[in-house]
Amino acid sequence: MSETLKIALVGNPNCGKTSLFNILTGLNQKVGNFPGVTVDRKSGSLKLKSGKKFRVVDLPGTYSLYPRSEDEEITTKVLRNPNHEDHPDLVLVVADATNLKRSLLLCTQTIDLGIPGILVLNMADLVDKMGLQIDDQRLENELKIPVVRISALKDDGIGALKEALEKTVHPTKQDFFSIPQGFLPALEEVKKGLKISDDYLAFQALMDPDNSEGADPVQMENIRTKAGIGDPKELLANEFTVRYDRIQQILDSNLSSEEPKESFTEKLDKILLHKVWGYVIFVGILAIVFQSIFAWASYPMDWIDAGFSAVGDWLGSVLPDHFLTDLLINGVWAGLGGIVIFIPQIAFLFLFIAILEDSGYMSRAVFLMDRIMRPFGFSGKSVIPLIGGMACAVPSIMMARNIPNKTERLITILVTPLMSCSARIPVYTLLIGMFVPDESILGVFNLQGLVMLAMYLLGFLMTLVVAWVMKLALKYKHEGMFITELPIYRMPRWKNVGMTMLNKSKTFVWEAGKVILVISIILWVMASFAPGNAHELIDEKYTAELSAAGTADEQKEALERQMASEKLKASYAGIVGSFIEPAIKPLGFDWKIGISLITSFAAREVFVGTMATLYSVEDTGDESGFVSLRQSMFRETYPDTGKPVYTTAVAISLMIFYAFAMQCMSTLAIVRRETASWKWPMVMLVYMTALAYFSSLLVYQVLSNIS
Amino acid sequence: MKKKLSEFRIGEKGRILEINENEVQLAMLTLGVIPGESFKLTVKAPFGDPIAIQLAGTKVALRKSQAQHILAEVTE
Repeated sequence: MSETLKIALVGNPNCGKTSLFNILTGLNQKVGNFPGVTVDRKSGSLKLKSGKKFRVVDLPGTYSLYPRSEDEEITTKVLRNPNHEDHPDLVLVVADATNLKRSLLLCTQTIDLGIPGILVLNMADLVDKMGLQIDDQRLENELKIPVVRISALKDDGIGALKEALEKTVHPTKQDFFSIPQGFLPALEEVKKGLKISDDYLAFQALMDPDNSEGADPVQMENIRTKAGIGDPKELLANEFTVRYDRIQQILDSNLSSEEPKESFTEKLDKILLHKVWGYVIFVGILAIVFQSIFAWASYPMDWIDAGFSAVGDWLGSVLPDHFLTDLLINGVWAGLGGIVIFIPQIAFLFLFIAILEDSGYMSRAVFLMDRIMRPFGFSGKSVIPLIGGMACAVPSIMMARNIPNKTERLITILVTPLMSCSARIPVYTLLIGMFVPDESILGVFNLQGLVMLAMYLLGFLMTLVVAWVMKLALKYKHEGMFITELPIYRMPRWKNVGMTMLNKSKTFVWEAGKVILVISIILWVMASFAPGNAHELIDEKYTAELSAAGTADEQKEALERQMASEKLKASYAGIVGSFIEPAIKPLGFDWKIGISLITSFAAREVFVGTMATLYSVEDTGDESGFVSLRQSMFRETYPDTGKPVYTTAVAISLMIFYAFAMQCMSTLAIVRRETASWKWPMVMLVYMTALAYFSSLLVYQVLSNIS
Repeated sequence: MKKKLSEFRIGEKGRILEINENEVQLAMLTLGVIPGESFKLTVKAPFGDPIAIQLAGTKVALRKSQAQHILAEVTE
């Protein structure tokens, strides 16, 4: 039995690292999170012919060990901290052979840290095609680590890489960057404080303490000041320059290499980054993406819905009539259904986002949008989370991590939930069907569809307005850094795209799912239990009526639904609903809507199910269910005045409320994790609730006074 | 002739001389852009911001406010 060694894959973004990871681990991979953050952690196992075993971790792509985003921070933290559970026994530095200079920056940094490594030259097939000269032997001699050529795309050279892994790789601590003598006293102090022995590790801790375990930023700053060390950024730039000088020597290349002929990417960029056509194409792509999401996802969503109801009904028929059965079916199972139903839309959206990113297009969209987004306090990179927000805010907020500027990222996170997510669709569908006639305008546009579109636009406009206000409130004037690579265009690597889609969907199920499930159970408890013997009294009353009603099934069912509705009113949820009624009355809402607002905290679409229970109609989950629910809602009148509860003004007010209100606990939970504080989720909850409340108030008061 | 990168026109070629702001310099170096390298300004987004330059191995986009810190020599 040999022990399992830990391998980490490191490399620049787009270097083909993930493709190599997929080849090495095949389907033996697991996706989880790195401790404390929601960055995907992909790990897998690899067994060689000799029986030698490895655990492989795919670390987030980065250009250097001084990170610029939260994803990149992980890679740095893992490599700098020998006690990190993912700290590797061996690194595979995956280099894009067509841009070796930049890849070697990261490579020499890992060598200087003293971690044993192998340099993997990926895209070897392109090297010959492009006529580049790479002297592998010289690289091995200079870097003193094994060098292997592969092509992850063509699955080439993997045998040689595995052979290299069979041999024991020894650490080859070097100093490609020799730390200036003047720093040594300061470094001694750092080494003593952190109990480490390596100069370069101490240098990194001194310059970038945030990502070094145990390094206190204030203390490091004091040491820097005492030693007369200036701006760390300047010194890091100096480190990079020294490294590049060495790299140029090794590569024996001239800086001003001759002009490459106009590439395919260059030609395509002339159209895709065009001042007019670029935007036309961008909007066109978005339209196609959303059209396909809604058209395609509706099929699996219908199957999931039907499947969950069928299993729920079946469970109800075979399990004994007990409150635990009710908990299982209406709490746990219904909660699970509420999570699974969103998987198709989320999976499709991430499929498209992955294709756009992998093909190289996404960074063009970012480029086109940057200037337009900036006045609102966004970065061009905010477009990705904002687009994602039209499916689900939870994974989208995680995608905001790519925004390097902290304020721009925060603003993006805070407004993403205002984009119309898929959980709002059932609510809008129900309400639009109530007051908008199903007619077409000019024979083309469906009126109900147009109102739905208007709700999306409303969400988007409010996103811009709030972002702008946030920008002012946060006093954000300084423009953030936006220096980014526009990678070459290429065919998406379908395996990676598939894996990304799978992983993001898993993240959604896990992150949003657990919150939705817990809330569903809490809400079930609130809706199922009542103080004192209120429920027993209702039971008694209906038992008599039910036995008197004879055997007509329909009549019985109607009575049972009426009983359920009465029980809900008496339950804790009903009490809370009635309690908040005075507060929501000015918005045109009654206590039943109040209950639904509360239950919607699990997920917005729970509104429809709650209303169905409250109005004693069967929630069939399809159009017929909507129709019967709408009829019951129309019949509802206020007992004291006899006036109808649902007017057009109420429906619009309610839609506005759902457009703006923070009714998603999963989003709050993810914001807490992403911002590592309770402050921002609370800010989000307060501003969105206030925005929803006052917008609905205004709309309802104006509309109801006009009519 | 020397001028700021932000003053380059589309299609103009140049060579990076120096980067006068530490953060911008570090970000450019991180992406593999080293003073001394030749480039061609290939695209400007509407309002002339951001801009994109093509270098030997990579294409880099940056905001005008950052391009102001980069001094370059016009070569063509």
